[in-house]
Amino acid sequence: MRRIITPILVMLIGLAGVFWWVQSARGQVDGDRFVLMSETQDGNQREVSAENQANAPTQPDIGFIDSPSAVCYQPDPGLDACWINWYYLSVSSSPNYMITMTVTLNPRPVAHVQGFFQTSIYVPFNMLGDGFKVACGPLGAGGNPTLGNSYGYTIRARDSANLGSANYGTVYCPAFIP
Amino acid sequence: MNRRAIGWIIAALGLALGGLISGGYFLNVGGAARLDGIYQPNPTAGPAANLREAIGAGDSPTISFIENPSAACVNLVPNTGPNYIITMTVEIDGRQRASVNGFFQTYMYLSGDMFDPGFKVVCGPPGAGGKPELGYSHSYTIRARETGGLGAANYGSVYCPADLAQIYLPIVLR
Repeated sequence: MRRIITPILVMLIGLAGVFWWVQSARGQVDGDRFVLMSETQDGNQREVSAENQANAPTQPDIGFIDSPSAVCYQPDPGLDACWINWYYLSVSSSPNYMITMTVTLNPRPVAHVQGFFQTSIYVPFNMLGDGFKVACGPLGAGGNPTLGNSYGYTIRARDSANLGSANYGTVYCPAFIP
Repeated sequence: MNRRAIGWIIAALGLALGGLISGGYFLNVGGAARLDGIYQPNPTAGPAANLREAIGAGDSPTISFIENPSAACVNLVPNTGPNYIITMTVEIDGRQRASVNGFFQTYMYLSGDMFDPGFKVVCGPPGAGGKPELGYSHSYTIRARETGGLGAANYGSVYCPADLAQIYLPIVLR
């Protein structure tokens, strides 16, 4: 009897492994969320996710977040102070309401936008003032030999159906050369 | 055949069963397979014959056929997808002053007030840049690069108004 227990255990482990593989192939899991759509390009990534697989629609109402032209600029070359901003941030989830949109920089939340009975959120650059102040950093500090520090950012949005959308990107700043 | 061999055969059958289940799990009735959360064409499904039908009882149904003429699949220029803009940089007098990173975008537009009040430079005394009524001339380069490996660059210069900082020392009488 003991001799048969080991193969049965192997069989059960094998089956569990197969089912785990099926689960991860259907939809990647980001933390505890189920990823419905994901795209990657040149180190940037954007995705749409649901709270879990059970309530994951095949066609989500929330779209990818539009966050073009992540800019880092140095107004004064004599100061190690740069500013990060986006041309605009926009996301829509019609007919659901948008609840929040947050901007996280390395990895601190720097902006939090609350929806108010609205099916889309649009934040132009001038709503964020000059942008977010960061250190420019020395030449090559962020990995690019011609630029300074690099900053990873995450922009997340959530709608009233608990669907989420997220952008992950990196922005490089000009170097501070004293 | 001893019990051990039987046990291993059971294990092998279990793994095979699991593989069959997983293979069938992806197959969808609509001819699409869902992988990584994205619907993709199912390579095992062949082209379907055209068919139209009006469903319901009666000899002359009041609903008509759906019209969807001219189903087209067009690739205007083969082997070319949409190219995304990766970066655009602003360089003033040989120093990088702004770096813009594209995010899934096919063009990049930046308005002037995004950099308000602009990039700080030295104005210089009259004639410093070659024009007697103006100050320094600052050269700039704007470069852009896209995913197709192509780049674009603008080279130019801009003259500043002359402005000489004059500091008057106080006369202190002892």
